[in-house]
Amino acid sequence: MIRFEQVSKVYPGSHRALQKVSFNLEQGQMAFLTGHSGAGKSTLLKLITAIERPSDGQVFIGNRDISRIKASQVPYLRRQIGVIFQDYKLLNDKTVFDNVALPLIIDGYGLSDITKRVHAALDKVGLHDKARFLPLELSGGEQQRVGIARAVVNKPALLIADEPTGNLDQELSLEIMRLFEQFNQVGVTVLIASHDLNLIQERGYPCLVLKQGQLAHNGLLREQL
Amino acid sequence: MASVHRVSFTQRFKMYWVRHLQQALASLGELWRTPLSSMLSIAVIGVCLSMPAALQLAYKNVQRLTDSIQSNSQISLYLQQSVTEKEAKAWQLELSSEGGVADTQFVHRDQGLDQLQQRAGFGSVLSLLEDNPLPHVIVVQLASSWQSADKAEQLLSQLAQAPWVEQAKLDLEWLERLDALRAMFSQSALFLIVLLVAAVVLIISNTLRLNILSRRDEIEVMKLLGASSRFIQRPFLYTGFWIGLTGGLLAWVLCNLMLFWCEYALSQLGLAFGQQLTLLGQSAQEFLLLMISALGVSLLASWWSVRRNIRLIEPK
Repeated sequence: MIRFEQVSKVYPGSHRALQKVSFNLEQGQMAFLTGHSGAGKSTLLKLITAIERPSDGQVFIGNRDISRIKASQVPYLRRQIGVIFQDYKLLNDKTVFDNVALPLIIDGYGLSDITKRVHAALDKVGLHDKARFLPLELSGGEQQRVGIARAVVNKPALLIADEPTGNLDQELSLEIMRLFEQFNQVGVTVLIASHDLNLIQERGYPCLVLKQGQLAHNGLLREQL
Repeated sequence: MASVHRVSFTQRFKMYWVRHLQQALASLGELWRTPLSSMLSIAVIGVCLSMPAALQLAYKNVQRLTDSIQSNSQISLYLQQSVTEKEAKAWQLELSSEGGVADTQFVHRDQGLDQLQQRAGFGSVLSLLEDNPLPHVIVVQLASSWQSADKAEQLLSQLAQAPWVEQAKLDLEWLERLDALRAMFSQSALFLIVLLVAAVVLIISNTLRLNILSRRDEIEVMKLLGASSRFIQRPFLYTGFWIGLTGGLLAWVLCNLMLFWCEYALSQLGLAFGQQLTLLGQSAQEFLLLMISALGVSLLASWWSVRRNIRLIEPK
């Protein structure tokens, strides 16, 4: 599902964010991505969502090489990836329903389909009764669940989460993780970037560890420790 | 990878138009929600557009005034003393078929003397003359297409060369001045129109630029979720459309108010030229042209600004 082949990324000013990173995440797999600040986690996620282009090497999503993808094709790629952000990135002047409906509207879904799918997604994250609320009327955990509902509403095959529990307490973090596991159980490939080593070890999924832009470890975290 | 075409083409096509309608109404609602800034933008556009429209109206009325003055332009052909009435009338007939001649009138030398006595007020002196010193005169009325100074002069020199003509007269200076004034007015108006249209473009593009910047976060999120630039641009283009439409309507209202305001002064001007003037307002075609220009300029400005500014916003 995600394949990196000798991927390097050098930012202007010769800052090397990633150096010859290679890994393969199979379809239906769930994995974590960890490393210290500046290790290259965000750059790696940006390469997957085509926010950045690799300086060298190839990035495959599905069987498609997106390293040299045309700018006009980027929106279509992003519609197939559900992305969850640490700061939720919700539109605060729109209701929970409208936020979750956004990917479907962009993708051209019909009104009845949108209503059905949004309610199903909100049901899944336990926010069915909060559809008419504005994001700022919700707690941090609830806002993150809105973000998750928005990421999964058009049933993407790939789910990327950037520090999804970074702003949440232990209990809420576990709740969010359980949601990811539920999506993974129905075949969605999930890649979660996280600092929380305890959480990663507890869940027992493979982990990509980045150190100074290089892939230092690929496998269960226990093995490394 | 998940299927790319999960939504059928028919569904997409239908929803494309539904979204257009929704985005058009939403952008109208957005203007409604920020009444002060929206009204200010619309007022500025309306005032800017009303100026060219008012100038066009003024030009139309001035042109009508000058046309009516010019339609009185005539060439007086003073014939040689030796030319008899019969010869003069025969030549008058010939002249009628000349290009540039709308009408001719024969003035007998006795009739000329009578007129002179009445006009000059020294009838008693003229009555002392033994012979009538005046020649027969043929007054040539210029055709409408020959009213300009250039053409009138061309016709004058052509007629002056005829063997029966002693002297040909036309108040060319007056015609030239009138032509020059009209040309100056139209050139100045054109320059002003270009400036005002540029002002409209700058105002609309700046309004939308600020609008886009205030929604920067939203645009970033939409791009992250896979929205195309066209999808993101559309509400802003509709905002430009509404500003252009309402600005155009306001310009029309202002223009008519100006016309009403100036009616008295312009009718006095008409009287000074001996003309009974009723002011011409905008015709349906001119109103349509104003609205098309307002919409065209605002859409062009919006497209330019939106395209440029949205391209600069990329997710980080």
